[in-house]
Amino acid sequence: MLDAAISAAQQLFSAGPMLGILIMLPITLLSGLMPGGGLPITIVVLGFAPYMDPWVSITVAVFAMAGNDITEPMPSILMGIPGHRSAQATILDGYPMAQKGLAGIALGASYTCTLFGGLFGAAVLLVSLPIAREFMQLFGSPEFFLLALMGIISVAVVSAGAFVKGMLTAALGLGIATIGFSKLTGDIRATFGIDYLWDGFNIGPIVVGLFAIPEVIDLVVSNTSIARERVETMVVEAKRDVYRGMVEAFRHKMLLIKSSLIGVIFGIMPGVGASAAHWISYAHARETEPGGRETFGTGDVRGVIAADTPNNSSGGGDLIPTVLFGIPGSGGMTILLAIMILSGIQPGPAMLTTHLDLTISLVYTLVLACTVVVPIVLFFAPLIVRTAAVPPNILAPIIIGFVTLSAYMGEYSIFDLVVVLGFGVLGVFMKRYGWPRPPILIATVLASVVERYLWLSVNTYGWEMLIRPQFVAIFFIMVAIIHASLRVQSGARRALQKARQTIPDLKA
Amino acid sequence: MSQEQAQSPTQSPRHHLLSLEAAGELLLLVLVAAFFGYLLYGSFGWKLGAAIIPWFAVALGTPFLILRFMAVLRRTKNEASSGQGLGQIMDIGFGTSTDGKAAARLLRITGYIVLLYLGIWLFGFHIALPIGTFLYLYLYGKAGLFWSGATALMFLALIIGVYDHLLHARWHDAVIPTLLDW
Repeated sequence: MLDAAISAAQQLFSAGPMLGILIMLPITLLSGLMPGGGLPITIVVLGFAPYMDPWVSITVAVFAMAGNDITEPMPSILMGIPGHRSAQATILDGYPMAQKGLAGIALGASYTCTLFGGLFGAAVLLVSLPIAREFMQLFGSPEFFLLALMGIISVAVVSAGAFVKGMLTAALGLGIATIGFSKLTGDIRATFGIDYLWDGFNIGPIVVGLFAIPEVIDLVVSNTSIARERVETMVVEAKRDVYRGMVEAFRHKMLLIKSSLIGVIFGIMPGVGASAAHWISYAHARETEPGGRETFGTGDVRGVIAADTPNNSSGGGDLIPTVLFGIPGSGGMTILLAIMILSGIQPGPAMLTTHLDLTISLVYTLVLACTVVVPIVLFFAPLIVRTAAVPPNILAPIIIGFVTLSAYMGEYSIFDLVVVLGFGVLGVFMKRYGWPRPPILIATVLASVVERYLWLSVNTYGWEMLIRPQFVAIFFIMVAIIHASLRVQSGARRALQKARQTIPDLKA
Repeated sequence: MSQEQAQSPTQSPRHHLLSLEAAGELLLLVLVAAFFGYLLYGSFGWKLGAAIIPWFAVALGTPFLILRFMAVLRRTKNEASSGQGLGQIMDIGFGTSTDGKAAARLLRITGYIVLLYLGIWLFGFHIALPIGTFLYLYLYGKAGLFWSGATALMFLALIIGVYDHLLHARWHDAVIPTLLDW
């Protein structure tokens, strides 16, 4: 383990990953500010993944995601715009504070929370690695089959609180994944007579179509832009009393720790992630903090702390099932999973043996993102805030240009662009009708794992695989996790409903 | 005169809009059902190892497909009787009654994406992507000649510098340059 830790540090701090992070840094800072900007920016890394060393592509993607989380609360506090789902609860107290002229305090507290939460999440990830390593040695092909299958089902079950739609899209994803040549039997499956489909769909165009295109369309259609005069006021506010806010955050140490824990625990749960964790944390703090019921929602700095801390701590928790079991906890982690596969790294048990140094480097990347991005945001806040005035009509063609190149670069096929358009239409419809999109992608990514381990298990163990103690234990643990996740989702929905009475624009 | 015929002329578009709203999701469900049917039909010709996951997908999805069909039909019926859903045409989350400009923005951005991809197929990435970006930024982004041009040049530099020279990317044979033997 120590060797792997040293090797991870050497690899991460080598020229490639550092250059990648340096290039990604300004893009990460700016995309976090723009509603809908974070995910498409991460998707850009997809296009380069097949050419890059996995150390570069994976660390850059994790850095971008963690960095985004740090700048995300800025529009919520300064403008009251609920851009990213995981920064919605921040508005409830952050924006009233800004209206009282206390934006600097709210921002200072927010930076401290994200720094603390991020480091906490990274520490939990590091501690969990040796424990998970011991467990992994007990698993065989039936357990890995079950983990992958339950991963798909659990994300579908808890996705956006839409059980029926989630299961339907997971089944659709499994079906889509079977298109093409079967590596097990050599059969050509469901190609509609199109030669291009013999190798099945590439993951890049599916991600771009399902996620990036609908987000860009939404960005332009909703036309969220801020008047330049207002930006100037925000610049002044972003500079004032920031350090006082940082001190305020440390005055509420217990709240910081509790909120970090909530983020980690719910980050581990498939399909829950930061978007639900921050609501749970906020609702919990409102009920347990002295006088919280009266002051939360009116500009209480504790509301900002409770809402922002889980955002980054859930990142560490989220990485645990994604990297170790190939079960992503959120949409962002699904993209990371796709990047790993395109880079030639299969998430799963090998991440604790062959690629242990790479897994440890993710911990370092989380720490690096927090310790580098927070001071930069602190010093360049006014400059960063100015970019919020960039209208969607300028951002949209640039994002489209990058993601189009990303989609094409996987296989150099013009048909990949047709796939982008097809999945783009599907993604727009799914977004419109509230069909969760992560299950379709997770099913597409994990279907081959399910198929391979099922085949291996049936041939090796036959029906006896169903009575293996490990198999039965995992089954019941996963059922318990799904049950708990559903309860968390309904709790988060209740908190959101309550918040809607104050801010009707909040998304579901 | 029947009751339906007796309704005021202003009420008939309501039912038209309602049916459009539901039709979108119903169309999506029909397409998913057709795909499941195709998968199942094809799977009878495959070996067991290849057919098992498609069967699992169809078995998992079909009950939820039926449930969703029923939910959409029930909702449509309820909305039709209560007159809800007015102005919610099949769009990206905006109502026609509140923001007509949103429809224009939707048309513009989807049209841009389709035209850009058509341009890439016809002229190739080197020509279509910089020109497409320039035109959108200049005409709709109001970015000015300098910034639109600079962004277009940035894309051209990225394609030539990074993709051509660094990554040695292979580009498809664009239709027009091939025809003109460029």
